[in-house]
Amino acid sequence: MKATKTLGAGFIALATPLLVLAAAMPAAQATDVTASINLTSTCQWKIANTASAIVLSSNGKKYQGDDLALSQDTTLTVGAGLGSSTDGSIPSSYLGSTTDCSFFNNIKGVEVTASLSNQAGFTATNNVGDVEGGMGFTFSAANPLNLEVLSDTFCNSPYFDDVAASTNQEVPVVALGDYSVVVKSKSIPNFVEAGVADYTAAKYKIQCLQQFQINVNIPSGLIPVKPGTAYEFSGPVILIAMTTPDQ
Amino acid sequence: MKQSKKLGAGLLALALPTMIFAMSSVGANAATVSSTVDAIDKCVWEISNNTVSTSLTSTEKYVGDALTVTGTLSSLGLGFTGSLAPGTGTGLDANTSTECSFYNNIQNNKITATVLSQTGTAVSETGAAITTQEIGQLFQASYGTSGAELATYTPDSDMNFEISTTRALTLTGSASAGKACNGAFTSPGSGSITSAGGSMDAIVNSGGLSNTYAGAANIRCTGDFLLSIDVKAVTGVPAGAGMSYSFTGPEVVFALSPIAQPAQ
Repeated sequence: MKATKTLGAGFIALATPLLVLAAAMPAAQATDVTASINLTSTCQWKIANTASAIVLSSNGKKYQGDDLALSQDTTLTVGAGLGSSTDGSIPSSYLGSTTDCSFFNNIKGVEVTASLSNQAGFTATNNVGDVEGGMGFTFSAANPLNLEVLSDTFCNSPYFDDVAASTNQEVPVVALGDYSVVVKSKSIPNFVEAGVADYTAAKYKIQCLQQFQINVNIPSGLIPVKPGTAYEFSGPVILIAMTTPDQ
Repeated sequence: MKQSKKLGAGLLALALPTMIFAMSSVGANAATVSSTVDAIDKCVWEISNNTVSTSLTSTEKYVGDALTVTGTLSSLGLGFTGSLAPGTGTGLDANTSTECSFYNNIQNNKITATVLSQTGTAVSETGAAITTQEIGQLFQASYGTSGAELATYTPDSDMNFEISTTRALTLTGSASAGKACNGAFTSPGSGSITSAGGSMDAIVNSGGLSNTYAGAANIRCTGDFLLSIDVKAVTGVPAGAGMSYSFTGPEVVFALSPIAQPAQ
């Protein structure tokens, strides 16, 4: 019996430091979970419009009482391109670089319209500064102000309607308040990869730059007060506007 | 004869205390028996976790769609060793378990991973104010310049997201290199946690233990766990588009959990 007590006491003495050690030993450990991601930049549509003033020419022909065609010597570039919020204006080259961008699932298309903002015709001023109402004219369905689409448009067809094909290459503008669509997007993806020299659809630059020539006829039947002199025709302001509707 | 007297006196001197004792126990003699034995150290379970924080990331940029972020929690271990030298320098890693015994009371154990419930004030992923344990399953978003101090980031609760049944925090286990699991354990497990308070078995010892082990037996299992969750999809441009987002997420607790023993 005594031997048992001695052994028991020994256990107690031995066990005391064990309990201290056991208490210090963690029964649980933890890890704090964090996450980090990088976001791509936001996609933004950018509008292109290369001209602030347009001069029409009769190409040396004189008005003789018949229709006289006026046209623009240089082309007008109108369009829209998609780039990231960190890009500057859209580059004029077909495969210019942009950085990756995303609409973050709120995809916006683009529509660029042309409209007349101040007048729907031309006023004529003679060589002494008098405005001659008889030489002025307004646009009509038969004689609209036409934006003629040239063949070399820089439109990425998977993403844009072909304005030229759908309008027989002419976009007429007739009356104040009217507008004509000159660029319209379709099926724009949520994520746009930077444009590179790779003609796969996913990396093709999403851009449509239409080259236009503007033309109109001075209609027949106008009678000048000062025949044999030069007349100055002052035309409308063509407003190029961009909207970005939900797609 | 003189020598014998001296010896007798010596014996008398030695016997005196005994005689006094014997005089109180009339008619009997006694001998005290004693013994000393060494008791083997007892086995204690250990859990090891070298990772106090786990950061989940993605190599892809977020574009508004759900994005999977992953990160690895390394060297989560379960094993046992003698209690006097518990893991001599985190024994699970150092391969130095010491001699021990369960004293015939073998207790099987496992590690459970649990997303800790927390209370406080926060904004849920749907924009609602919450104060409940749901906070524990929330990843709270802020954005700023990549590489800048987190303290300079701007909170953006619109990007908060939560662990849920449709967006589980998954843990995919695999044996750590050079630390294959002993046969007494199932391999590091895989599973999902779908809410604060939810848990899964990470490493399980379901049997196969002996009562006693020699030193360096190293009965253990150490695993690496790939943590994964999806950042939620959004419709609309986040306030921090083009920048970096940081999410402060849940605390995952790894705890020893005894396995009930079958009835004898």
